Amino acid sequence: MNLKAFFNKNYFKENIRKSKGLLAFFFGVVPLINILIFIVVLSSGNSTLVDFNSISIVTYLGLFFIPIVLSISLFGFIFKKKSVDFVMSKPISRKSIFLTNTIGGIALIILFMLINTLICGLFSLISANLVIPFNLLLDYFIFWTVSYIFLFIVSNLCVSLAGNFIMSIILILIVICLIPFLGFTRYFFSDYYNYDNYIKCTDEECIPDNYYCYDNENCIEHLSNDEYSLSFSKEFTHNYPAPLLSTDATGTLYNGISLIKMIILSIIYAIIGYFIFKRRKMENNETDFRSEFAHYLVKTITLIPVCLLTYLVLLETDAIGWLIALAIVIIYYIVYDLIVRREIYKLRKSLLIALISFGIITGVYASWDSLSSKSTTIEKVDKIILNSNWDNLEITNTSLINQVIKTSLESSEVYYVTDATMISGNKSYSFMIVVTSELESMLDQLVIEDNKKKLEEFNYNSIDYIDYQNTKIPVTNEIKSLLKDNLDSIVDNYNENSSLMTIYDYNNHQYQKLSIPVRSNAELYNIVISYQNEEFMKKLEKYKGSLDLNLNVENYEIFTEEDVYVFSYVINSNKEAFIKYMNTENDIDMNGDNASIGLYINNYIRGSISDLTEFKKEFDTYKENIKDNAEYQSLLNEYKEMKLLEDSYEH
Amino acid sequence: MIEIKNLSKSFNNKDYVLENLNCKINDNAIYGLVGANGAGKSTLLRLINSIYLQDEGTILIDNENVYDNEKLKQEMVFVPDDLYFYPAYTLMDMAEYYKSLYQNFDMKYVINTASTLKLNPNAKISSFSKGMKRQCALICALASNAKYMFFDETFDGLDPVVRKYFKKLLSEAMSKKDTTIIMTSHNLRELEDICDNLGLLYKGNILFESDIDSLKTNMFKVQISLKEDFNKSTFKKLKILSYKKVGSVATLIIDEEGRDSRKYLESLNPIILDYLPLTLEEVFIYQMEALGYEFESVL
Repeated sequence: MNLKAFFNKNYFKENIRKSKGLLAFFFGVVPLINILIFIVVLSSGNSTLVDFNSISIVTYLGLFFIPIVLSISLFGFIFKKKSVDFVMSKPISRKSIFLTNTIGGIALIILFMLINTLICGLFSLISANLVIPFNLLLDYFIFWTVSYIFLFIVSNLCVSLAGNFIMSIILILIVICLIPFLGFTRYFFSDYYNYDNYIKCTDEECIPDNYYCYDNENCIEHLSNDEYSLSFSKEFTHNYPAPLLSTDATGTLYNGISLIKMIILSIIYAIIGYFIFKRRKMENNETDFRSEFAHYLVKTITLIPVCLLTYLVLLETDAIGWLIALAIVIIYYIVYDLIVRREIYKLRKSLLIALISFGIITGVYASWDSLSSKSTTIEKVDKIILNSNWDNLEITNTSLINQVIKTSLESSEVYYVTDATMISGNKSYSFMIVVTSELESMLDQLVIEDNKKKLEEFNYNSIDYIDYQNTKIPVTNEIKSLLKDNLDSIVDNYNENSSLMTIYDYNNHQYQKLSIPVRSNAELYNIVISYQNEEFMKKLEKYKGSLDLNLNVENYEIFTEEDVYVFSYVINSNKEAFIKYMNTENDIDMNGDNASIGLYINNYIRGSISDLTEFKKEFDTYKENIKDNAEYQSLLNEYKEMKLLEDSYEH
Repeated sequence: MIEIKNLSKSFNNKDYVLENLNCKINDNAIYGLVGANGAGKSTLLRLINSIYLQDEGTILIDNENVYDNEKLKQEMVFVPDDLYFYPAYTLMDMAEYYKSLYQNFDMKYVINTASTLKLNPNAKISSFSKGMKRQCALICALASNAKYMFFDETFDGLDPVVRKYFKKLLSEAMSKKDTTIIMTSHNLRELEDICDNLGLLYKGNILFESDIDSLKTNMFKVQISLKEDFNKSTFKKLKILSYKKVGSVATLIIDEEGRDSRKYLESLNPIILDYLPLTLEEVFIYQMEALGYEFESVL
């Protein structure tokens, strides 16, 4: 087998060489910005757990340019007659040119992504404060490599079809945006503004105790079918290929379905691109297409978004709107020709096609728009996901789903409302849950049950990160063993609301996180608080300026409000003594009167005081040391005035 | 041998640039392709070099189909009318590029020829004049040692001295390396002293082709005056391509076709009988007139 027919190294080397400056810029800018971001993050001194989105920002932005620039650098010669003559007359076949450019381009993308991944990995290795799990790096590498290759292959296909640069960009936009655009527009017209919504309730638990139709005939008719009016809207969920990616409920850009689609489409588009390039008429350059049909077809497709604009104009205006819409379409058709062909091409025929296309597309939009008046009924809810306040808590229990629906249908006590998503089959609907105090306690219980279940299922061997009150706790085998061996006590102590540390494991393309009460085990508490205090003291000793400190106490029996008010000033005035106390006297005791001290440097970190009574004595000596200090006196007066003002407001 | 059969090419499926063209070009010769602007010379060369794909017909070189034939293209080099060089490339860079693609590329030839022509091989081609750029392209093409060389408007932009030098190089390539050279021009005079054969491309077809020697030895311009009154029919035994009579003197363009016209005309006891040589351009014009084409308006 002649490998040169698939990849002609010499040709590729020269082809790349001619655009080396441009490619070096585009390929270099992403890793450079990534390096700068990492340096900025590290210089802040805070520990950071990197997630898929934050590691991907620059790479995602680069996706809009790099594959297209690469494709045009490699295939752009076909846009100019003289470069076509130069390249195509050389002893290299069209098959070799296409395969060499495609394989070489893919190799460059892989190399580029490998460099990016290695940079991220390297920063993670050299800095303890920057945590990037290996699986995340793997996901980053695979997902973005596939995305870049997908767009590169789409670009190759479009460049092979087009006769000039502008047309290839238009074709790329059509290939990647047309279906998402139509999907979203249909959703926007038919579902986004649909308010006539019902939910079917046949179970006793779901049927609301008090529900009124207020003589609404529609409502009464639906009620006879056990359908209750509920305000919800269908969500626009999709799994389009890059770059129009969507985030899932957890907010991650990583989308497995999009990834598979991109792999399959890349293969299909590469094959189509190969055959198009092999049969391409090389005289098709310096204009959009030689074929008139292709010219009108693409022009009409690009009219689709323009007609959305004109349709919106028509909705808002009367007869004059038609004139405006027609003017927009005609101007667009002329401007389009001037841009892509640098001439007005067959004006009369062009305008006739424009008018027909305008009529058809506007008709389609109007038919979609009419769908918004149809009523939607959710027959069965498979799952409810509580969003913001409940950390994506999933409700799958039918009884609880019914309870949630019931409270939302009833006109009863409203404790508060929270946004949620109902999943029915492959469709999802957003709505607001009315939370009553009764429902809240049920949900609280579900959270506890859910967490207990997660505790038992969590893979403690693969913990990537532990956070305790903004302090990164080192992931050691000791902690892993403690967690595994004391699972029962952790589960038993789960009702504990305070002193929770969060453990993270990057698994299944996202972070699985779990809150662990550090007080569930004395040994665990000791390790975590020791490390927290150690970090706290490092910052305290390192920072030379005035410290921004606060004391967090749960009651004011030992420390008064006045003590809390002057705390930062008093500690700053007795910094050396305070450091000495924290280093020598502050023995960790899980059962003592605990309190925490917050220190703000870029963000809050905390240190723990184990014996508050003892610390109070120490604090009093600090106050004594500065009692004659005018600034301190002024601060006390300030506090007194503030209290007086508060009292007067209360009275 | 290059063999073109029933070749047709159109750019918009209506107007054919080349239509049902047939042509045979023998090996080891310099074939000149002449024709007016838009006659299809460049298109024909692009089709032979498989830059374009023909609508109909076949192009065979050494009995192999040329289209996208990588092996055959090793033996072909094409210098187009409108030259292209990669940005910021020097002559040496271009030579390296050619070397990476042509197995028999001769780097020494590039260096020596550039030196003779006083071309700096390490200067950027973009800084060169039009003629110097043409020199670079021709040097690289000749250094490829391809068996078939195609040059479109070969000497465009070259000064007379350099033009003569390249004519010498082309002749050498043909004689020493058995190369077949196909070159186009709209200027017949440019080709007449180098080509062995000439073909005239007119409205998408080769109207006429012949080897130059026989063209020049078979056609004459004759000025004749007889004692008696005479007209064109007086000379009906000869093949007359053109006949013009002003006063008592007639100017004839005669195609000898193996006959001895002088003997016949002398037998008519002329008062004046002058045989004048024809330029290649005149040969073509009269041949075309004979074929019924208004060629003067084209050339």
